[in-house]
Amino acid sequence: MAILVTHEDVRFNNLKSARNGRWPAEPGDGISSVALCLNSEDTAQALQRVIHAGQRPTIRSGGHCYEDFYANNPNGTLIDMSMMNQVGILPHDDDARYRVGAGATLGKAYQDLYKLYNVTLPGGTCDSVGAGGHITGGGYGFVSRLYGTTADWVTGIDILTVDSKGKVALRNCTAKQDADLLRACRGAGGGNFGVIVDYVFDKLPPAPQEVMVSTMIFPWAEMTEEKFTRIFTAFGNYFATRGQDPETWGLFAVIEANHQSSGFMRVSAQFCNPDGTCKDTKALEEFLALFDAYNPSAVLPKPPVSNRPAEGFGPHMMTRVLWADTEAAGGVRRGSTRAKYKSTYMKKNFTAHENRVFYKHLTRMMPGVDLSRSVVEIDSYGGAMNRKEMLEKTVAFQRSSIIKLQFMTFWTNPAEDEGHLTWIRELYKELYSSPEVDAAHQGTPFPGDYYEGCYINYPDKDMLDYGYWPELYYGPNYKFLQQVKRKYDPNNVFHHAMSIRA
Amino acid sequence: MKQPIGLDRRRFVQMVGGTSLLGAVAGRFRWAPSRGAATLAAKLVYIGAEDEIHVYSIAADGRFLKQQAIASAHPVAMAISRGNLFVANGVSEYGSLPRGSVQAYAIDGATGHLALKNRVPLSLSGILPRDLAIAPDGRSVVVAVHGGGAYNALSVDEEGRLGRVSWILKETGSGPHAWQACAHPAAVMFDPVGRVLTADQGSDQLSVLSISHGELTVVGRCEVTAGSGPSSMVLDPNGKRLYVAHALNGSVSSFGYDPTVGRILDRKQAVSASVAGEMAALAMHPSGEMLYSSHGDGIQAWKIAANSALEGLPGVEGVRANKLHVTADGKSLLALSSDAVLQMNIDRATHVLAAPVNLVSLSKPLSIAVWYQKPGVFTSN
Repeated sequence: MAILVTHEDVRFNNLKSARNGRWPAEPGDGISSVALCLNSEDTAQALQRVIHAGQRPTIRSGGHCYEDFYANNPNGTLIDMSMMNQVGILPHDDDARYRVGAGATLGKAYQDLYKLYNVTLPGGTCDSVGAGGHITGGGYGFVSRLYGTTADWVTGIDILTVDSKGKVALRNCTAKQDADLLRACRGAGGGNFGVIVDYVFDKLPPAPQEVMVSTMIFPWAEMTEEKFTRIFTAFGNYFATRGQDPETWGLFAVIEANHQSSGFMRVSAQFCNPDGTCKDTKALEEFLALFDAYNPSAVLPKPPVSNRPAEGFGPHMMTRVLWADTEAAGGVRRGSTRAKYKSTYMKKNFTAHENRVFYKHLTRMMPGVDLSRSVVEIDSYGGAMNRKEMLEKTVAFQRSSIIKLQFMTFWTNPAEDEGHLTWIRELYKELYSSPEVDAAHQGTPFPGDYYEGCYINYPDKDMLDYGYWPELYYGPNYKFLQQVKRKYDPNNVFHHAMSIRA
Repeated sequence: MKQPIGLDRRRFVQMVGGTSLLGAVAGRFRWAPSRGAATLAAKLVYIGAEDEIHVYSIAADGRFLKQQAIASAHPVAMAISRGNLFVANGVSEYGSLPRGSVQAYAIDGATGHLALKNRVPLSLSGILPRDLAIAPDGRSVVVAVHGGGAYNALSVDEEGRLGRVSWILKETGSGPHAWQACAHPAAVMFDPVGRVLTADQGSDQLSVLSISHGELTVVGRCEVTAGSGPSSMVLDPNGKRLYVAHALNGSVSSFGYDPTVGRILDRKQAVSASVAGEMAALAMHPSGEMLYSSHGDGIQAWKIAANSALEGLPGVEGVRANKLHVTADGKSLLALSSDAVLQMNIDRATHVLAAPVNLVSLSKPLSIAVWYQKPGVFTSN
C-alpha cells in the first residue's frame, strides 16, 4: 500500500515542497497529502482513494516541473512516483523489452541501461529529472541529434486512467491497443491523461563509447555587440547548413548566453561519430574553428564580487535545512531557488533583430535585480529529431527546427520576483515582435516560416494570455489530443493550468 | 416597460400594492397572508442576463422599473443574503486560467443599487458553474460547477466579501445519455439544518453534503433513474419532501427527505412532465400546495396532495423558461424565457396559471433574485 504522508508527519515539509520556490504561489494552494507509491498496485490504490475522497490528484516523479502543475493542488493529494524507479528488462517480461519506471531519474536510467545493456535514452541533460514527465513531453539532450528524442523511441506505456464512473484501470498501451493514448503520451507532456507507471521501449540506441567535450568561454569584459552577433550568427549558420549533414549529428552544441552580470558566456559541445566513437573529430574541429576569431578562453573569469553574504558562511552564521534536502543525503534544496522559464523552436538562423534584442537584454541592468543567474540556453537541434515519419507516431509536431531556446532566470529573494519576471517577459516579447511573426501572433514564436512554437517540457503560463496557446505547443495536433482527453479522462481528473482542455 | 397585456389592471394593483416603492419608504406592499408564510413585499428584482445584472423596482401597477444595469460576466445564478447579492459567473476562463468565478455585490439599502465588492476565481478547471447557494448563516457559499465536475465551497466574511475557495469536491460519474459523458453538477441548495443538497445531471446522482469549517463532506448519495439528468431541486416548506426536475428525460420526481440526519429517502413518485431538454426548472409555491416545472417547452403546474403526491394541472404551453420563481405572496409565477421576464398570475382557488404577461423584454435572461422586505423592517439583511 502507498505510504500516505500528511501534515502531521515530519516528512511532509520536505515531500510537499516543489523545486521551484515560487510554488505554490499562495500557501492555501498547496497539497494536503503525499502518496509515496512503490509499485503500480500501490499507485492504483492510492489513485482510487483520491477519487473516492473527491480529491484531485497531481503527479510528481523528479519534481522539476517549471510551473505549478503538481504543486498547486489545494486539499489534494500528490501522487509521488519517485520510488518507482526500476530500469531494465523486468523478470516478468516475456518479450524482453526495456522498461523505465516513471520515477527513475535520467541519471539512474543512463547508468543502469549502460551497465546492463550498453544502450541509452537520447534524453535530457539534467540527471535528476524524472522520467515520468520528461519522456511524455519529448525529452532531448546530447545524443538527440543522433538518435531523436526519447519519446520517439517509446513503443509502449503503462498508464493508470480513470474511467467515466471513477474507476481506476491500468492500461498497457501499444501500437495495437489504446494506440491513440500511446501516441498522445508521446509528446503531450505530463498530467494530462493519467498516471504513467512505466515507459516501454522495444529498442534503444547504443550508448556512445566515448565523446569529446569542449568548452569555450567568452568573457563579457571582452564582448562587443558586433562580436556577440558574430558568435550567434556563426552558431546558427552552422546548424542551418553543415549541421544538416548526418555525419555531424553526433555534435550537440550549446550557447549558454548568460547575462552580462555573470561575467561570461559559454559555448560548449559534445561530439561523437555516428558509430559512437571519436575516431574522426573533423566535424567537431570544424565547428570549434568557427569561433577562433573571437578569442575564446578556456578559463572562467573571476565572478563579480557580491556583497550578498553566502548562506551559512561566516562566524556564527547558521542555516536551517531539512536533512533530506542536504547534498549528503542525496537531496536537493527544494524551494530555495525561484525561477521562470520560456522556450522557442527556431527553424532558421538568428535574424539581425533577434541578435540586437538578445544583446540588449543580456546587457540590461535593472536596479535592485540581480540578473547574474539569468541565461538564454541555445541548444542545437534538428538531426534525427527532424525525422518526418515521427509526425504521425507522436504528437511532437516540431520537426523542422535547427535550434531550441530555453530562457531561464533564477533568484532567491521573493522581493525580486517582479524584476526577474519583467526581464524575461520583456526580452521574450520583444524578440517575437518582428516581421518574422505574423500580425495576429506578435509576441510569440507562433509556428510559421521562422518558428515552431514552444516546448511543453518548458511550460510557460504566460502563454495562456494568448488564446492560441495550444497551437504554440501542439500545432495541428491539439484537436487529436482533445479527443484522447475526452476518451480516456472524461471527468478531467488530471488537470493543471496548461493541461489539455476537452 | 410594457403594460400587462390581457390582464385586468385592477387585479394587478391589488396584487402588487398601491404605492410606488421609490421615495415611499413608509409605503408598504401588502400581500395576502398565505399558509405558513410571513407577509413579505417584493422590494427589488435582480435579473442576470448575458453580461449584466439588471435591477428593477416594482411600480404600483406591477410594472418593472429599471433602476440600474451593472456589468457581470454571464450571471447564471444569484442569491441574496444579508444585504449582499452573490453571483456565479458561468464562464470557462477567468484570469487566463480555465475556471469560473463568483462575485459579491453590496445592495444599497435605500436604492437597491448594486456595488461590486469582489470577484474570486473558482478552482482550477472549475469552469461553467451552474448554480450557487448561501448557507443559512450567510458565511459560506457552495457552487455547483457544471463544466468542471466539482463543487466549490467559499467563505464569506463579516463584510460580505467572498474568500478564496476553501474546499473542492471533485466528482466523477456518467450516464447513458449522450450528454452524460462525465459528472455535471447542476443544482445546489441548503436544507433547513444547513446541509447541502446537490443534483448531478451527468452522473444521475443526488447527494447530501455537510459543510464544516469550509470543508465539504459527502453524507450520502442517492442514484436516480439512469439517463434522467437531475438538474433542479426544491424542498417543500416542511423540508421533508424533495422534488427534482430531470432535464434529460423531461420528468419530475419526489423523494422523502429526513433533515434530522440529512438522508434522501426512497423515491415516492416520478411523473413525466414534458419533452426532454438541456435544462429543467422548478419552483415551489410558498403554501406547499403547488409545484411548477419547466423543461424548456411549456410550464407544468402540479397540485401537491395531502400525501405529497403530484397531480398535473393545466399549465402554460409554448414558454421556454429556464428559471422559475413564485413570488412570496404566492400570487404570481415569474419565468425567464429566452428574451423576456414573464409573469403568470396564479388563481388562488384553482391554482391555474393565467396567460403570461411580458414584464420586461431582455435578451437571454439567465437568473433571478428577489429582495423581499418585511413590513416595518426596513433592512437590507
